[in-house]
Amino acid sequence: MQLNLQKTIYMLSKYFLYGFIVQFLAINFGLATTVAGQYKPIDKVWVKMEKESLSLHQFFKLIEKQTSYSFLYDQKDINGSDQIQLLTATGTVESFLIAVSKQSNLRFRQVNNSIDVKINPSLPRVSIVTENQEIPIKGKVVDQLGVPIPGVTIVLKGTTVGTISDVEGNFSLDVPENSTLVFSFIGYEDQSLEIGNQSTVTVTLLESLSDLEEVVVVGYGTQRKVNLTGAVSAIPSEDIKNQPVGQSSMVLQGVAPGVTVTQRSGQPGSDGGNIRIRGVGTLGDSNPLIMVDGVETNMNNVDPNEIESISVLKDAASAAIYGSRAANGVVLITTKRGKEGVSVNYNMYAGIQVPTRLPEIVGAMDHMLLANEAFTNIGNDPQYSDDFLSRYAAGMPSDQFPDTDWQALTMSNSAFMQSHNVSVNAGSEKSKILGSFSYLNQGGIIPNTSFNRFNIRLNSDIKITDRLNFSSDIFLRRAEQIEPSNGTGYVFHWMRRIPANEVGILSNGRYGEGWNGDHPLARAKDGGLTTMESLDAILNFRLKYDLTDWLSVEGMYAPKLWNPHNKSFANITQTYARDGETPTFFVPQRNSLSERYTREWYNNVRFLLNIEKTFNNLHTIGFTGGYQQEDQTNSWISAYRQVFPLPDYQQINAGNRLNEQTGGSATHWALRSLFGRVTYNYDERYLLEANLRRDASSRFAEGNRIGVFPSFSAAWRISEESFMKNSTGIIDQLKIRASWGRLGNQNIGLYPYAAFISLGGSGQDYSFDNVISPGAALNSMANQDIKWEVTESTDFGIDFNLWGKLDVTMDYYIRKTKDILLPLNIPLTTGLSAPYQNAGIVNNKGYELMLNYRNRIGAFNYGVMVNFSDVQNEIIDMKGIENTGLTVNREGHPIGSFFGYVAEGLFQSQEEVDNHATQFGNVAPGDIKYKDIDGDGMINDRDLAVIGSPIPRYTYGLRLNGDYNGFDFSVFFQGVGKADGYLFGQGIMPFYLGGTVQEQHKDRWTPDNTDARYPRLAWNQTNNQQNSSFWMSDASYLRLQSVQLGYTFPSPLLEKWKVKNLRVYLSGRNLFTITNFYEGYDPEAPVSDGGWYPQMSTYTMGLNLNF
Amino acid sequence: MKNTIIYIAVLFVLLIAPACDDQYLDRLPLDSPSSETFFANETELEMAVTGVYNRLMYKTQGAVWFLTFDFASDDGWDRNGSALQALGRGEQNADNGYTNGFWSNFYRAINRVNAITSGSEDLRTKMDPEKYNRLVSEARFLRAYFYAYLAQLYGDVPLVTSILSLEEAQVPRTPKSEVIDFVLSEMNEVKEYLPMSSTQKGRVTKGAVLAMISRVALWNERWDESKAAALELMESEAYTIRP
Repeated sequence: MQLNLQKTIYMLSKYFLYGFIVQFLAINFGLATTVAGQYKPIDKVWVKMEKESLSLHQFFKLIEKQTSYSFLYDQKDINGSDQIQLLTATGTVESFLIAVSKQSNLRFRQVNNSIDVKINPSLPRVSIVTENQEIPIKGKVVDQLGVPIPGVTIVLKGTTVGTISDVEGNFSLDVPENSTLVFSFIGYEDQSLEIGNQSTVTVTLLESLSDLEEVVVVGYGTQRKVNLTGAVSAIPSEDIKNQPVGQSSMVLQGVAPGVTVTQRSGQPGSDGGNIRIRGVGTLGDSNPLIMVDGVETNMNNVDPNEIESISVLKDAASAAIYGSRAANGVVLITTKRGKEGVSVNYNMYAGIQVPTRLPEIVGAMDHMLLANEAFTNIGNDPQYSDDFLSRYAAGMPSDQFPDTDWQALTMSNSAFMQSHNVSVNAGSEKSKILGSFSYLNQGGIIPNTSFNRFNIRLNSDIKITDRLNFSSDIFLRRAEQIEPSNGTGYVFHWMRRIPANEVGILSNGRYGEGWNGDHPLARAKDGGLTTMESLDAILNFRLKYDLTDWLSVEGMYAPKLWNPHNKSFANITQTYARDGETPTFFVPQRNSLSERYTREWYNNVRFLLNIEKTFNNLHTIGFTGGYQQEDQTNSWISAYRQVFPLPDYQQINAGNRLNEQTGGSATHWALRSLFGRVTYNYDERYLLEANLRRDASSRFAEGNRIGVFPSFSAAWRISEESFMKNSTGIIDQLKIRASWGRLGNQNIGLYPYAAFISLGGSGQDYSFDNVISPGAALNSMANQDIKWEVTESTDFGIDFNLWGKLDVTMDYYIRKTKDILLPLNIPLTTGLSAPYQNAGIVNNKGYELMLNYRNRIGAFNYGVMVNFSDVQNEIIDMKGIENTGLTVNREGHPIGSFFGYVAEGLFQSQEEVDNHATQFGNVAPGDIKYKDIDGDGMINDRDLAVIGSPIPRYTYGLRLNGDYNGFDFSVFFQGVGKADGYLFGQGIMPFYLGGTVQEQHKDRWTPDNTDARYPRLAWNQTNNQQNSSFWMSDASYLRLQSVQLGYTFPSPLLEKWKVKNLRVYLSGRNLFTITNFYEGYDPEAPVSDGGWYPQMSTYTMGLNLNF
Repeated sequence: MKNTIIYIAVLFVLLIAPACDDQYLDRLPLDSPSSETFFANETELEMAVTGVYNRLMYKTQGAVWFLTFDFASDDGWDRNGSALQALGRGEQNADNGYTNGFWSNFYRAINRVNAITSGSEDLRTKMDPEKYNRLVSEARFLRAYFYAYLAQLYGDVPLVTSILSLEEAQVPRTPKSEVIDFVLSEMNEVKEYLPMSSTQKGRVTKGAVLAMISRVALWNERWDESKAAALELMESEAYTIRP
C-alpha cells in the first residue's frame, strides 16, 4: 500500500517534470519579440548593409534588425533564397527597397511599422501610406437603460490599438480621423462606431442574444462555453437573484435539464429542495456534491444574493475531476467578488407566503352523519342517535356542541417573509473587496414556526505584485429555525385528524380536550419550542503566482467550522373537559429539556498548477494538476433533564437531576487526492479532454482505500470547419460531443468496513438495583472487503446556435452505478446485523434538451427558454433481495418504488364480492377490489406488486422574459411528468383509526353513487387500508413557478440622488399548479399520512438599488 | 526561467509527498473499541454481560417483550393494525414484525453470550476466578433462558453455541427436545457458580435458575426434573411467598 502510493507519486512527479521540460523546449520556439515605437517613413530611416550580395531573406532580416519595421509577406509568393545585389552599403530603407524591387518584381508598401511585400507589377515600386492626424476622443459606454458599463474593450478597427472603459463607463483614446471604433464586452453585442470628426461619443451596447462566448466555471477552473466537451449547465445570476426562496437549492428547480429538484416541505428553514442530477444514482446517499468557491458546503447556506454563477456538472467528463464524490453530479457555486470602483447595492423583497393547497375537513354535523354511515355500513347501530343529532344541530357551536375547524384554529392564512441584502464594493487595480450582508426572515403559518438567517461575506482580492495574487474570503452565517417541540408534522397531522365535534378552545379560553390530550394548537402554541441554531464559518485563503503568462501555481487553505446547537423544551399543556373546569389531559406528564451542541471542523488544503499555452495559433494545450487533502472531525455532546418546576427557566440546571441523561461522541474522516486535467484544442475545431482523480479515503480498510476515476471526452466544432463557412448566417455554432468516465461515491457511512463494539446506550445498558450499568456488545458483522461504489457514465451531446439567436443543447446519457453497498440478507441466527457488501447495480438513462431563444424587436428584448429531460431509473441487480413495505427497491424497477396490491376499482355488487378472491375482513360492495395476481383465490402477500414510482420521469421548464424601456417581466413554468405520489392513513383514508373525513370523501361509494372517487365508508375495516394502487395518485404537475414584473427608473432621473440604478418589482412564486393529485395536497407531497408542513406560494414586492 | 520552473516542480512534488503518510487516513471510531481487542480486562467482561441482560428489555408493541404475550390473551387487546393483530388474523408472513422481532432479538442475545463464552477464556486467569465464573454463568443462564423461549415459541430452532462466520451461518434446525436438553443441562451446570442471593438486584441468582429449570421442565412435560428443581428452591428457604 505504502509502496503503491510512493510509486504513484514518483510516477506523477516524473510526469510533471517531463511536462515541464517539454513545455520549456516548446516555449523557445514560440517566443516572439515585439518592438513598439513611433512610425517613421521609410525614406527617413537609414540602414547599413554588410554585404553586396545577399539572399532576400537575409535582406529582410537585416532591415528588421536595424529598424522597427517588419516585413509582411506570403511565403508561397516569395522565395527567400533569391539572391539580390546591392550597390551601396548605406542608404535609406526606401532606396534599398527600390533597388530590390527593380531586381525582383516585388512591390513594397509601408503601413505604419510594417512593410507589405507583394508581387504585382502594376503597383508602384515603393509606396508609403501616410497616417491621418490623430485626434483625441472621449466617450461613455452605457447599456440600454443608460447604466454605465465598465470594462468594455474599445479597439480601433483593424488594429490592436485600444483601451478599456472605467467604472463610470468612460474612456478616452487618440484615434485617426474618420476611423471606426469597435466596442466589445462579454454578454453584449459588438458594436462598431464611425467617429467622423466628433470628439465625444456615447455608445449604447445591446445585450448579446447569444451566450456562447460565455465563460463557464468547471472543476478547478473555467472554460469557454464553446469549448466545453462535457455536459455542463450554467445558470447565471440573473436567473437566481430576486427569487423569493428561503433556501438556495430551490433556485435550481426547473432551470436546467437533468436537474430534478423536489421540495417536500414548506416549513421555514426546511423548505429546501432535494437535488437529483440525472436520476437517482445509488440506493444510499444520492445528493450531489455542492462546492461553494471550492469548499464543500450545503447549498442552502449561501444566500441567493451572494451567488455570481452556478454550474451543474452532469456527466462524468466534467465531474470526474471530483472523483470519489462526483457520482451524483456536482454543483459549483461561485460567489460575487469585488470589482474596480466603489458602489453600494441594496436588494430587498418582502411579502407573504400562503399554502398552495389545503385539504378541507368536514364540519361537526357532516362528521357525525358520515360516521353513522360508516357504522351502519358494517352492520352496527349508528354512533349518534337522531335525537342527539338534532339537539347538536340546534346547540351548535358551543362548548357542549362544538364545531371546531381545527385547521383554521391552528393555522393562520399567511405568513410574512422578507429578505435584505446590502453589499459594498470597493476596488482599485491593486485590491478589490466585496462585503455583503444578507438577512432573511421567514414566518410560519402555525404558531412558533420561523426561520432567520444572517449571512456575512467578505471577499477580497489583493494584487501583491503583478504576478502574485492573494484572495481571502470570510463567510459567516447564523441561522435559527424554530418549531414547536412536538414538531410541525405533529401539528399538521392532528389538525387533519381530530373530528370537528371535539372541542378546540372552550368559551372560557382554556384548551378543550382535543383528542386524548393531543391538541395541535395547544402543543404548537404552549408546548415549548425546538430551536435549531446553526453557526457556520468558512475561511478561504488563496495565493496564486503567475510564473509566466501560461503557467500559474495556486495554494489554498480553507477551513470550515459548523457549530449547530439544538435545544428542545417540551412544556406541559393542560386540557379541560367541556364543563370548562375539570382538567383532563396533562401532556406530557413531565416537562423536559434536551440540548445538544455539535462542533464540526473541516480542513481543506489544496495546491493547483495551471498551464495553458497556444502553439502556432493552432494547438492549445491546457493542464491543471492538483493535490488536495481534507479531513473533518465532528463531536457532539448532549444533555437532558426532566421536571422543571419553574418552566420559564429553560436551562439544564433548572431541571431535576433525577433521570438526567447525557450523551456525546465524535467521528472523523479524511480524504487525500491527486487530480489532473489535460485539454487539447486544435484550431478551435477539435477538442479533447482527459481527467483523472485518485482518491484515498479513510472510510475503507487499508488495501481498498484508493479509487482512481478517469474520464475522456472529445468535441468537434463543425461550424469552425471551412466547409461550414458558407452556412454562416443560419448555423452560427455547431458542436458534437462525446464523453465517458468513471466516478465514485464515498457517502457510505464513516466506517463501513469495520465492526466495532457498541458501548453504552439503550441497546447495551441494563439497570441493576435501579442503577444503570453500562453494557457493551458487538451488533453488526464486519466486511473488510468493502470498496468504492463506481458510477460509469457515457454522454453524447450536440450544441448548436442558429441565427445567433437560438441556442440548442441536446444530450443523451447512460449512467450505471455498480458495487452499490447493500446489506445483503444474512441468517438472523448470526445475531448480528448484516454487513454492507458491494453488490447492487442501478442504471439511469435519459436525454435532455435545452432551448434558449433571444431576440429583439426595436427596444423590446425578449427571450424564451425551454428545457426538458427524461430519466429512466432502473435497479438492475439487488442480489435477489426482496424487501417489502410501502416503498421497495426491486430489480427491474426504479429505486423506492411503491409496492402494494393492484386495485381494480370498487366492488359494485355483492355478487362481485362473492365471486372474487377472499380479501380482508368484512368486504362489501363499495370496497376496493384487489387483483388476485397468483390466482389462488386469496389476496395475500403473494399478490403484492410494484405499482408506481415517486421519481419523476420527465422534468421540464419554460421561461418567457422580456424588457421594454425599463419594464421587464419574466414568467417561469416548471413541472414534472410521470411521477406518482402516495398518501395513506389520516392523510387520505376516511375515518382512519377513528379520525375524521375530508370534504372530498363525500364522493364515496353508495348504492346511488357507484362511480365514486372513494370507497364506501366502513368503520375500522382494514380492507380499504391496505397499501394499494388505489391510494397512489398521479403526482405530475405543471406549475407557474415564478412571475416577476419590474420597472427600472431611467438613469438621468436618478442622477441627482447619485443613484446609478433603481428597480422595483412585483414577484410571485408557486402561483398556481395544475395537477391531478389529491385535492388539498401539493403534488410534491412526501409519502406520508398528510402530516407535513405544506408547500407555500409567495407574493412579494422588491427593490434593487445601486449607488 | 528554467530554474524557477524546476524549483516550483520540486516544491510541488514535496507538497504531494505527505500523501505517502497513511496515518492521515487511519481514522478509527473514537468512541468504541474494535471487536478484535475486546475482552481485554474485567470491566469489559462485566460490560459484555450487562449487554446480554440488556436484551431482556427488548421492546415491541410499545412494551417489554414478555408483557406483550398478554396482548394476545384475555387481558389485553391491541386495537391498532399491528403486526400482532395480523398474527391473530392469520395474515402474517415471514416479515411479520412481531414474530421476526422475537427471533432476531433472541439470537442477538445468544450471539452476545457466544461472544463471551468463546472470547473471554483468557480472562479466567487474569481476574478473580469466582467472579469470572459468576459472570460467565450469568451469561450462560441467559442464553439458556432465551433458548427456552425460542423453543417454546417456534419449536425446532437452530442451536447455535459459538460465533458464526458468514460461511457457517446456514445452520439447520435442531429438534425441540434437544434444545430443551441443552437448556436444562446448561442451567444445571451454571447454578453452582451463582449465589443464592445477589448483592445487586436484577442479577441472576441460583434461585432464579432453579425456578427457571422448574418452569422449562414443566412446559416440556419433564415432571420429575421440574419437581426436583422446585423442591430444591423451596428447601433452600431463601425465598418466601408473600402471605
